[in-house]
Amino acid sequence: MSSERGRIRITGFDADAVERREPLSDWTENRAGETEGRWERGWREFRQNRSAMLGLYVVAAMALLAVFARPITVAGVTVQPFALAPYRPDAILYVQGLDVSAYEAPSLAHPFGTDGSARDVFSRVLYGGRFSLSIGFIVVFVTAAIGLVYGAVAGYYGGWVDEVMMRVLDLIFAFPGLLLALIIVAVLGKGYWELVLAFTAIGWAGYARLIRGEILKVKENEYVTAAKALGARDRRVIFRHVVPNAVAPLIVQASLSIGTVVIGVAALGFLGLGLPPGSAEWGTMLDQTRETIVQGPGGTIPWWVTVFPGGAIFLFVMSMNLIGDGINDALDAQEGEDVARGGEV
Amino acid sequence: MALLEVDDLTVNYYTEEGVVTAVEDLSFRIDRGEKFGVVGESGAGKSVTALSLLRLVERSGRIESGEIRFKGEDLLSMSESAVRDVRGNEIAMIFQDAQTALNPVYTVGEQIAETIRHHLDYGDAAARERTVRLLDDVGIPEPEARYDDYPHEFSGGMQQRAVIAMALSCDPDLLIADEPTTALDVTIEAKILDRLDRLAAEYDTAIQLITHDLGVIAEVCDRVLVMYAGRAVERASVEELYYDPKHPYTVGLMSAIPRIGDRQDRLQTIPGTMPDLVEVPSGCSFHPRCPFAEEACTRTRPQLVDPATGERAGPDERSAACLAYTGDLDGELDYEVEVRGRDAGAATAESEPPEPDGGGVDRGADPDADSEGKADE
Amino acid sequence: MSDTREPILEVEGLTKYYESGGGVVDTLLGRSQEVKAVDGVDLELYPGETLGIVGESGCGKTTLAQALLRLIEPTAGTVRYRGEDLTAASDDRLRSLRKDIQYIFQDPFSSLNPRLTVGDIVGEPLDIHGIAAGEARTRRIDDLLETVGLSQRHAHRYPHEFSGGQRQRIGIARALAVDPEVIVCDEPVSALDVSVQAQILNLLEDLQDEFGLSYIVIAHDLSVVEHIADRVGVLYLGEFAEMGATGDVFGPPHHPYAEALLSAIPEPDPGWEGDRIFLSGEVPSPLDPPDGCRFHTRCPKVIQPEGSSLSQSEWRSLLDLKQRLRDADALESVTAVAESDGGAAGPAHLSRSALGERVREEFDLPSPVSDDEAESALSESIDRLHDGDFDAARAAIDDAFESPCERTDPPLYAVGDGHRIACLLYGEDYPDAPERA
Repeated sequence: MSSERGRIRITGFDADAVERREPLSDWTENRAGETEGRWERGWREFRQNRSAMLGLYVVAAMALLAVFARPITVAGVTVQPFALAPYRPDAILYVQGLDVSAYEAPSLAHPFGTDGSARDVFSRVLYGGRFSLSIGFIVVFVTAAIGLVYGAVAGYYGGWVDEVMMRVLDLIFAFPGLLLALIIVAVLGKGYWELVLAFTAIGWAGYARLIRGEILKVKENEYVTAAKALGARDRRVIFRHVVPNAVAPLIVQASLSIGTVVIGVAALGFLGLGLPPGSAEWGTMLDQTRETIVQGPGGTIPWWVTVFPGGAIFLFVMSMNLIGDGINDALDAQEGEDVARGGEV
Repeated sequence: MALLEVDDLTVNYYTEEGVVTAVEDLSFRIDRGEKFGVVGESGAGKSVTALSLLRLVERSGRIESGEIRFKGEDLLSMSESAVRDVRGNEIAMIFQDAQTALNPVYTVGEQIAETIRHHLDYGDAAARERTVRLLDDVGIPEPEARYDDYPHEFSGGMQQRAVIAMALSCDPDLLIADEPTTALDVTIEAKILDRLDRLAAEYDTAIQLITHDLGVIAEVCDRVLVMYAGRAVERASVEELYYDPKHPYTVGLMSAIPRIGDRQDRLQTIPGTMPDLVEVPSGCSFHPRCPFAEEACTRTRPQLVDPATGERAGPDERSAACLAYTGDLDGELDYEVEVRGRDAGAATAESEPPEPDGGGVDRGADPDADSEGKADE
Repeated sequence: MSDTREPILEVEGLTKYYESGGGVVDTLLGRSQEVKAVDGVDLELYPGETLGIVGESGCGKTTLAQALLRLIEPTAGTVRYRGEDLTAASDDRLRSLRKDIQYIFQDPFSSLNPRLTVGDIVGEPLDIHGIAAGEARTRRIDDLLETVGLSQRHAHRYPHEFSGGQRQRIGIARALAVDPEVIVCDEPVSALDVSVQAQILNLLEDLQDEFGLSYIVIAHDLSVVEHIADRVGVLYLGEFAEMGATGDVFGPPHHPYAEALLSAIPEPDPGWEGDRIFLSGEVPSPLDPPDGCRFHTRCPKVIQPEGSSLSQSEWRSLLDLKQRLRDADALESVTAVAESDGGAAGPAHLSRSALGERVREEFDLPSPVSDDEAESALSESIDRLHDGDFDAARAAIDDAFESPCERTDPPLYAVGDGHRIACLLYGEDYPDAPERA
């Protein structure tokens, strides 16, 4: 027994011998295989998710149909000459001399039938995708961008800045979302860009709060301190180190809320506050024909004028949700993988 | 009959990257009142071993084969409710992170009293009294007052003490402690280990101590199992292991720790890192890091053998899993262990002292390892 | 070591107080408290040396390390690098000074941005300071990876593909990229396995020899510090308790805290039978650190007033009782747990003599204690406790037992060449204190 420390000494375990000798086997420390970036890995995960891929195909198809529904002309030059929809969406067919009446049931000539003004519902549904989809994507893109910057600044700087910025958010959250959008449209009047503005005004706050919370977590990571210790400026720290690591939940949220925005646009349309009456937007189309849901002309209910636009909304929103869930799972799985490799197996 | 007998335990995890064998062919014995250490680096399979003893392996893992007998009864064939009775009551567990082991919405005292009421059928007052006594036993000051505190009002050391109190509350026969002091400061660690040691004796509880810290093992344990990449590589009494390690990995580990007062300029290292268990090297999984490795090591997987005879060793005998002891290597394990000031005279009661001149290890020259160790101390 | 040379880094009175609890509203109302994380620390770092700083969790190690580099803004004090005051430097100047002083982080998992490749992580300092671009940048990154024992084919991989030890090497390569003079290493090996820890420590030593670096190594593991440091400072509650050459600090004379810390290190040797010093109580909260010597609440060698003839353990126990009484409002706090039943009634129903026994049992005090005056004060206090008058009990004991350590905050007394200890036992007033070596 001894109270002296460090009595044991081992010699002869020559680590350098391992470095010097030829490797005994072809086993190597780092597993072979292509290195994969975050997005590549995410995409691989996503592709394995069947329902998400189905959603993606549906959305892609709807987007293509909307783009190729009617020719697109920019400043007199036709940039997109195709027309999948047989008629212009606002064309009242009997005015054009066709032998068509209002509320004609689906037939080969008019696969989705015609509406109360004898317009071709098939053409209108195809064309209407332009409104719904573009508003959805534009609103979400703009709100997410605003929310990202706002939340990042608040979260990164903290203190007073954060306090003030968050109180502004509370102010926006104090209004019921759709009601605020309704007020804005009522004040500004109906129209495409008015709708975009209304939904942007209520939408960005959620992203800002989400991203701020995420930033608060991410900025505790040592690599953020490490970047500062290297002499990086705030801008670099925020946009190279903090935001890229905080952005995953934002992307999930954004993909899920495209559907919400489309529903919101449809809802306003249904309330008669969307696009001008007669527009081929899906919600507005429903609004125009809502009385027929209860009592159609001549006692029959022309189901096709509500089912097809409504079905389009349903299909699009559900597909967007499938995509959103898929993105969520793909990004989640990555986080899990990181952790698993860090800890004990 | 030993208190706990584990035979040929194999645990697989099914992950996206493939099947991971976290524990393979593991056998050991723990006797009543014994303090048994399991040492290894992260990824060695220590924690999985502990979890499988309580059948707590997570979803993705499966105990593929083997037997775990506790007091002669096979834990693996028991019903789920029978295992629940064993857990906490006869085998208790202490984890590294005391904070997550305590439920933040109940007071510390209440959580312990609850266990006592549940397992031992105590009344409210009796359970409270026993809890206060336990808190006092594990060294929590003012136990009456702290009974009603919530976990967040305890410091890290105090939380770990409370967890120990909870583990001891039903007087278990076996206490599995998984890195119990790793998150704590040395002064607290010393106090808690000291306390654990005394309580184990007092309650006649066997301890399975899992840690990466060779200092902690030396202080607490009687016998030690060294694990590497899911397999046992050496099993010995604590004196044998520290003064006469037989497996090259143990030797490397022993030489890599900085020791206070050893006046070494440079630390010896084990090159490389522990393999990822998805893809374990062929043959002896330590061969890419072993300076004594030869061609044979990449082909043959060594079994745990008695280093003196090269015979296959029983599950409680001193053994090492290295081909050097079965005569399959051309070279020698030419390392030396020198223990300053430990001459033959001072070490009479000990098992097999190395040569006083430090010319210690000539393989196979120390027959009949005394596996009793310091059991009578 | 070489005190004749100019220090490369000189720290004076470095202080960092954190606002604790609450947000802006609490601050406005003056409700917040200050956590004294680092309180007036002085240190020098000489070129080419390694200064180890040890201490337990919560002693302010990391705060000190980060305040040194102004990664967190110090409350007061100066940090001079080659004579230039970092704390007064402008943001731009500070950014360029970061080329000279670098930092290595504790956690190899959170200190590398998981979204960047290893090449980009190591190359980042090159971009920030415009050190190299294009082909030169790639070459420099390859060089750096090679220097720390990785290979250039690792440059395109992501951090999650590496083990803890390899990640720590990447962190070291990143710090080396700017060719620094000083590197502050915050627990560089505490997250690593034993075998890997040795590799990293050796690497740090090799790099020091190769590039003439000076290190400040922060660690809680004393064996690591003993191995790597030339000089060591022992930190307790934001102040240095002891500072000196490694051999001096690890051998006597000791600060009582350093002595306890050393004795507590588990020795990887089953035959080792050193004496453990168990400290009483817990580390006090830095929100309200003790007056006088910060260690007096736990110190086994706390000084007795003149004329006292108590044994040291009795004295320590009496002070423990005094501290316990300070915020006690129930007898349970100061009495031992009853051995058998009887506990049901609680200590309030005990007779005077039984209460006395239970109090003495809790604090391991004999009856009577070996000093008459002390015994009478103790009895008096127990009498008052029996009456249920806690204030009087406190008063009785407060006046009788007061250590000089409670009043005087000891400065760092020189006890040898460059070896300083902040303990009154080593001061001029106590030349014959029994523990002086």
